[in-house]
Amino acid sequence: MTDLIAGIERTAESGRVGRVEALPTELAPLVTKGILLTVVTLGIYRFWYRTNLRRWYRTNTVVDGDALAFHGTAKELFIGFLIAIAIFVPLYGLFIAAGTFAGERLATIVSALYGIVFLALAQFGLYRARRYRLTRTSWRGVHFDQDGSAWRYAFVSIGYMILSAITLGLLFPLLRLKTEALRIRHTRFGSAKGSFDAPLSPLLKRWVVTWVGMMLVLVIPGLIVAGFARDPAKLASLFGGLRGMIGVFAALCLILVLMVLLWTRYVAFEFRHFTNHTRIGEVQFRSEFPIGIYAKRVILYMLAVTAVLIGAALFFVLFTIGGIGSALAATIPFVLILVYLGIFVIFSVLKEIMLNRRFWELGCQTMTLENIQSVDEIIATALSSENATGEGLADALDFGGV
Amino acid sequence: METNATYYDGLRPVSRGVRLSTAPKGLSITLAEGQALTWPYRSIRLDEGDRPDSLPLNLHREEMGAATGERIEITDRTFAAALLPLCPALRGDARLRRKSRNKIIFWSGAAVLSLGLMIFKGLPILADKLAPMVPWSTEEKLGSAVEGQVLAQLGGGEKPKFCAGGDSAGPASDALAKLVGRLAEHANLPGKPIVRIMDAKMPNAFALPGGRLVLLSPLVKSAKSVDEVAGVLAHEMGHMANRDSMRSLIHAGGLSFLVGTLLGDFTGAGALVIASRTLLGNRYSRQNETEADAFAIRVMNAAGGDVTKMGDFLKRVASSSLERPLELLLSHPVTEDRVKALQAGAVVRPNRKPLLSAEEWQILQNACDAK
Repeated sequence: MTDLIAGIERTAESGRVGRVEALPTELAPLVTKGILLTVVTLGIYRFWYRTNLRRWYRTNTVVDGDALAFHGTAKELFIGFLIAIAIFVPLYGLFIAAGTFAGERLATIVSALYGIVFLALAQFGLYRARRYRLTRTSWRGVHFDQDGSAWRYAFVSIGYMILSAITLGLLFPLLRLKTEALRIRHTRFGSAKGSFDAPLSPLLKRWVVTWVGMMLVLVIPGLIVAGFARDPAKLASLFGGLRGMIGVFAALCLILVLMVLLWTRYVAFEFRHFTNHTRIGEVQFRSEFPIGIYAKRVILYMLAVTAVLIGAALFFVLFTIGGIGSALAATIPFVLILVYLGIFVIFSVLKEIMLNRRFWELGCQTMTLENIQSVDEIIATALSSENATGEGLADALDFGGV
Repeated sequence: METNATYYDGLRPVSRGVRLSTAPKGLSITLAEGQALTWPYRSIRLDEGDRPDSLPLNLHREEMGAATGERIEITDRTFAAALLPLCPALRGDARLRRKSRNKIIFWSGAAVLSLGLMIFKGLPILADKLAPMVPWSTEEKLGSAVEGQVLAQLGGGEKPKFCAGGDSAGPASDALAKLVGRLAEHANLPGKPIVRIMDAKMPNAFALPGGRLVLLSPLVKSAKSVDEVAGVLAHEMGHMANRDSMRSLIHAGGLSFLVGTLLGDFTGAGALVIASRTLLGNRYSRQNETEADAFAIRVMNAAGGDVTKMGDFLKRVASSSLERPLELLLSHPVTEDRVKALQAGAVVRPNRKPLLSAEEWQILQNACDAK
């Protein structure tokens, strides 16, 4: 009797809404140091950098007044990496041998097989990596978790990938929907389970526009060039020479920018849509992710990247012109390597600070958790497995993720 | 000292206001319901990555090396400053951590060393050892598969036109066969070479897998003597004898994998991987070219040819003075060095019999004329 009354009392009170804050802490020093060290140590430092980065994002995410905490260590990741190597060396060697000693026809089969195995392992690794990240994340002392089979996830992923490929990418949102559903439904927070009920049609509608846009952006220039192909002289006069080359370059840049914007438009919508249909336990997530604002940020990022590229190219050209014939000439290839590495470092830093951080900030600021008081009923549970080896496979296949 | 703080019991995601005080045995925590616990000072840990002066101060408790799940969040700076000195093991056992870090540094160094040795020494040796094990018949199959594409590209998309050698017949082919025979006698090739002269625009020569050696017509046409062509032919035979196509294949594949592994990009698609592959792969090619040159010297000396003429040809064809500064990016050694090596190694017998008679050489040179 008491429980029934208590139950009625609970539904009578309105659910409290929790907010998510993204603390405005400095990120640039961490990222710059991390990427520089990673390059200098030929990649070994990446485990430390990634762990620090993850910790930064979580400890600066405040949900209903309490920050998330991260318990992962770089050592776990490193050990996972070593184990993944042990698995990959013989596997790769096998494929090289098979490819070399097989005849031509067999060789194509071998490489196709290799592609599928690689893809399956990548999906497997991604699922396991997510479990690693979740089990190392806690809020108010209770850990997250992810159960379910990574092989099943790989199988489902590949199935929908094939479907998407067959339809020339039109059914891509279906792949995204099904894999997200698997991920969320196996997510745990203590005793609370995740649920996911996002409908496909709003996503598909959004994607069709993006897809058509991308096809047009790719096809129209192709048609123009094909149209002129009948008249090669005109083609040469239009595209030949310096003016023509600049024109073609500008057109390619425009195409790239449009593709990026179309893609951003979809990705931001997908995030909002998925979040609005995600629940953990009784807590319902809501998102009003500002797609327009984020798109502006992406444009800013592309401008910054272009500026860096132009600057670096100018520097290198001037250096080469000035250096030839002088004593500096021998250093030209080394300067080339340095400029290249420099660009790589700057791009990585800019991407983390201008894109990833902004996405996280905007996502947090526009996210609310309804019914947040229901977490009081949650109990911490034992983790599905200790997973001490981190995410070795995903790292070896370079699918890091935060 | 006393203060208020937030406590999480690690069992439920609920924050509880508590009263903290520094007791003799440890940190005393009094909950709202009156319940009291004590955290011994040696069990108190600072969160990983947090600094002791960060605020709010996040502490958790560890017993026997494992976290109990309990956490405390302190916002009172004065209390934090008073509490921290009382905790002897804020970062866990200091000695264990130092040992662990030293171990990681040592093994990372060892891993980089071993990968480095593998890339610079082991992989070339592996490629050299494995290549001869690939049956010649396999290489031949690879050659016929690759030939169509490569030659079509060279001919500007049109079907390649052969002036001599292979399936062609006629006096030019006979002369070519005689020249090839005189060189092959002293060569010790793994199979029968298929030498052809192809109609093209630029002077060049190359060896495809399976002993398919191609001389481009401008090379033959503009040569000043039969020894120039013979030297180049002997060089290409060197590639064939050393199984260079297989060596490069194995080396490139292994390199992709190793560099990708080290840099964490197994797909090998990252720009860094491609860049390092280019640099390291070219180093390996330069070595192969040097060995092919040495082979040419040996065979030409034995067959009675004059390999210094090949040096003349290289000098004529070498493009620019930019070679030296761009050395690392080239897949062939700098021309100057090659010419020096050819001149140093050449042994030209004074009464040697020319590789082809003047008449035969004339026929060969005009192989691609008027067809």
